Amino acid sequence: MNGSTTVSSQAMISPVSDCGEAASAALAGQILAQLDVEIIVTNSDGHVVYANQRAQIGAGLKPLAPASASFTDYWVIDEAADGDLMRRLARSSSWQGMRLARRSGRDAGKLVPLRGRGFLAETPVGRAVHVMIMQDPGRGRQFDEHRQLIQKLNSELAHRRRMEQALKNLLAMQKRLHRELVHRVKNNLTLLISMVTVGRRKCKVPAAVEQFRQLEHRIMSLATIHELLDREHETDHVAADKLLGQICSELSRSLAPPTVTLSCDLAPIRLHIYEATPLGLIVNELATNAVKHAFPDGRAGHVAVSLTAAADGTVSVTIADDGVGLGGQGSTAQGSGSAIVHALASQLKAKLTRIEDAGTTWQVVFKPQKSDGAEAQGEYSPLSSHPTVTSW
Amino acid sequence: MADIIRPPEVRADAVQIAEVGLDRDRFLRKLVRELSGTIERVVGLEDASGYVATVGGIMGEWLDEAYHAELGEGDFDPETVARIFVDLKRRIEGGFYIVAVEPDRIILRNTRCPFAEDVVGRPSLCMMTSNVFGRIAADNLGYARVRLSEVIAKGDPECHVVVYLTPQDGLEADEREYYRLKPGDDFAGL
Repeated sequence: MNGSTTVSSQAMISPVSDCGEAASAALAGQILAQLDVEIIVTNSDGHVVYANQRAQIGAGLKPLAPASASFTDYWVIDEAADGDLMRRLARSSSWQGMRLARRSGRDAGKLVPLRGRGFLAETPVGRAVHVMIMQDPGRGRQFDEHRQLIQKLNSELAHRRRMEQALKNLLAMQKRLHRELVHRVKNNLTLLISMVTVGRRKCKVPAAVEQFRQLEHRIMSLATIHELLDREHETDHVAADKLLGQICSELSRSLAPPTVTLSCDLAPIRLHIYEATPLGLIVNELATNAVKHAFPDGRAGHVAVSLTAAADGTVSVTIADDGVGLGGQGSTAQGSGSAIVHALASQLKAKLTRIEDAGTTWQVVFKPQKSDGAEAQGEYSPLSSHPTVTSW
Repeated sequence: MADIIRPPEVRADAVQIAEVGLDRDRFLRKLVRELSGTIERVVGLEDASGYVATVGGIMGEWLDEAYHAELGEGDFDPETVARIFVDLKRRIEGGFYIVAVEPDRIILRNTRCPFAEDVVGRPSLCMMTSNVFGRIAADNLGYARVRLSEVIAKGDPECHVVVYLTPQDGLEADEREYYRLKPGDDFAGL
């Protein structure tokens, strides 16, 4: 907006033609008066030679009154800063932004965004530099919008960081509570085992003693999982190889006669406790069954437990003995252990296979559904699904 | 088990001899480019040019004082002003040369901008040249109107700059006027 550079200080606008000078000046005056922005023109002495109606109103003056004598009647001028700024504006036709405070009027003291430039105006003594100051409502608006946006984003960011920290604290607390719970469950299961052991020792009925022992081992399988979780400060996942190794070791120590050996070949696999728990119980039942029934009459033998994982993630557990096999007894020879194993296999969505050859081999094949690191969902129960009624 | 990703090993002296093309000049040019680009985007080209014009005016005063300090206090004639234009640009690696010096105008062209390639797409930076030339010319010759008809910043191969030394009615879009004030002019009524 450079416009006409030479302006009459009487009319404040260049004539469009000599013959219509007066009419043009009058029209220009009307146009300037109608503008909804303030315009003030000052000469080199700081004398206001023109102020449109809007500028008069802004200064608290009558709209059609003559312009006040001095620019300082309109605006608060700091001699050091604003005086230098005005001189700088006067020396160039480039519009430059500024803010000045109103001297008087309803908004006295309020900072107003303005822009100004110098121009040459015709005066009775020749051309002279004048300064035109124009209200610039848009100036700074984008900065203000950016500033507000940045403030809002900063506030949002701070809020989200606080939320994140709060969630982290909650998560940490939940983990601590979960670990504490694991620890207590482990202790309670250990206590329970001790109570069952005391009951077994006091019991004089052989069949009942056997039931006590079976119960002991089942609880021990559960306790082993919680012991592993507690030891490794975990809440969700355990090393299945360590779990099965510990179960087999306990069976070998407490159940197997000297003539029967147990061996393990266990690949390092981590499982969620939703899957590790039924798997541990299955291995406990099947290995216990092999140790107890595959080697009658002091027969020597071997029970091998293996744990492997296929490339597609499928987990396979094998419990193989070189004992006498079931000898055609089939599923009818089994008691509650059978129902438990099938129920647990069903819970794992596992394929349960029995192979009768030189002994008995059981194979449990399943695909873990809960990968390490996945969120645990729902409530956990070692026997959460109904047993599948199948014979084995 | 997942492989552990290790950062690549870097020799101790590799950082110092890396060809990253960075020195103080490159850094400052990049800074000016990004700063001017940001201002152009935020407030628009016209207002951004106004900010650069403000700074350019100050730079012009500073350079005018510097040349007067070495060459004397009296006003320079148009020939000297033209030579100063070329000289000050040469000192900051600009490629200006004089096409003509006439009583009412100085015509120059420029093959290389001091901002180098960083000026392309930043026309607000041209206000630096306009204001420095205009300030020096006006303060020594009484009046200047700088026209930047071609500029490298807008993709032209060279800048074409005309500094008019006498006023005329009307300003083109690519022109800016510069005035010399009389001692005692304050414009603020102080």
